[in-house]
Amino acid sequence: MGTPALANEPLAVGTSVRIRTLMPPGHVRAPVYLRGKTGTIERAIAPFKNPEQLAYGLPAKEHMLYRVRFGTRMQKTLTI
Amino acid sequence: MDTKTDGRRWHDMGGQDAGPICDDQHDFSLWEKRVDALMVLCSGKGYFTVDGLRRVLEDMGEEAFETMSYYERWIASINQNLIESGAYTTEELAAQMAEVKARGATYGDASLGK
Repeated sequence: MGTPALANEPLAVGTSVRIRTLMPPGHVRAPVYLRGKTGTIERAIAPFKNPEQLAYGLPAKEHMLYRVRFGTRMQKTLTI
Repeated sequence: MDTKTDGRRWHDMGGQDAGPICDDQHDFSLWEKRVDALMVLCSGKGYFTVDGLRRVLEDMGEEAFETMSYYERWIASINQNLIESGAYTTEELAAQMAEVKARGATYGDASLGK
């Protein structure tokens, strides 16, 4: 057996990513203040078991964990 | 943002007004240090992870957050996780609690002076 494949696709440094705006009940790691916001991949850390599955005592798939940079300024909505 | 209807859960407070923050140092009692040590032992032995601790703390709700102390909430969550992971049954827990209670009224008596 080789190394199990990661559950997410590798992302290059500098890739722009947006946090989903989904609002499921249960143990969710993305804080609400980041949902819908766009950030940039700063670096890959290491494969990391999904804490949203670990929280329920379930076998957790490994995802690549990334450090993502977000701006601190409020995002303005352009009205046309 | 309407925090009552947008799906935000009570514990997800980031970005909201917090009011003044108390930065006093805390002096923990012996039982509180033991609760902390118990968490280290439980995760080290693989019963559950800190994620399970957090999940139950969140599910305990805002009232528990307002009325119980930090380590009172921790021990409630640790117990819930230990039952879920099969470390012991509620029946075994009840028997052990009765035995400890019968030792005496003080913490020293109940812990056999240890």
